[in-house]
Amino acid sequence: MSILLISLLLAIVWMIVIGEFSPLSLLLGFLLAYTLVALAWGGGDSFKYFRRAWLAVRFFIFFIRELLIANVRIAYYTLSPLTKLRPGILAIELEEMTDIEITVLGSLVTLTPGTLTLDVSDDKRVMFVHFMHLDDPDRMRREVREEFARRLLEVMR
Amino acid sequence: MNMSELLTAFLLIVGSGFCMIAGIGVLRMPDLFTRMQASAKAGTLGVGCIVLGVATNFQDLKVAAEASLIIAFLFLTAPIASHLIARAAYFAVDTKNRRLEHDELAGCYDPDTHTLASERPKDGVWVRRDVQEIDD
Repeated sequence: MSILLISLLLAIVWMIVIGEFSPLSLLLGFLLAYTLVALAWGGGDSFKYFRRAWLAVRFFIFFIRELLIANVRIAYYTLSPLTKLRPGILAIELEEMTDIEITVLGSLVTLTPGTLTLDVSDDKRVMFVHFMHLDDPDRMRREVREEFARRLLEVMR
Repeated sequence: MNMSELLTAFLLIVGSGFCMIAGIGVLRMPDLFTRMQASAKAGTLGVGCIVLGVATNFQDLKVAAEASLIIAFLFLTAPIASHLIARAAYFAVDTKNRRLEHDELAGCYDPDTHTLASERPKDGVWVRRDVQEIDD
């Protein structure tokens, strides 16, 4: 994380030095700083940093895709007969996670349409999620645990 | 009409489309939870698209920075608000006024202290950990 901040700061310094404030110069400066800092950080660590940045980009793309798909699905539910709708609440077991990881996961689940994080149990082992349409509880449970939680932890750890 | 105008128009139309669907959802959905789903989610993407459309229209660093801040705070605050409203609604809304065909949360809240166990207590008795008995 600190490497990212260093790269950003260096990118800003870069813009001041070349005296040009534009998205393009920010991007160029960031790429330069990113590469240099990652190389200078040395050894295996820089490798991990590269991999993590790549994972973060992949997660972002995955999340935007989920967001669009789910929005189209909600639009379909909204416009089709509501008697078919089967709302429900599922208990989803979490693996060992820190508070901030649970917060991010809960927020992402809420932002994805069709699912809404209701609460997390006091011992942080189970998250209760409201689903707008529950056609296959086990598949949905797996989706949140394996798609969301696993991918997120890959990026955050 | 050049590329950026086309992109702006596209984003604005998609954004308002999602906002409209959110509105229809609030009218049609059967209970508070599903209504919140319809309004909060479609709304965030809708507003996000519209703000992005504004950014592509002006093509100015200042506008773009403000637009990305709006989107960031929208995505940061919306889930917390929905979580609190939904949780409050779970306590406040009468069972017959909500439509849940499957509820694994039922019985997990302690009715008095609102602490949440990870599973239903088997013997139906709640273990009070942080509440002290008050003698009078």
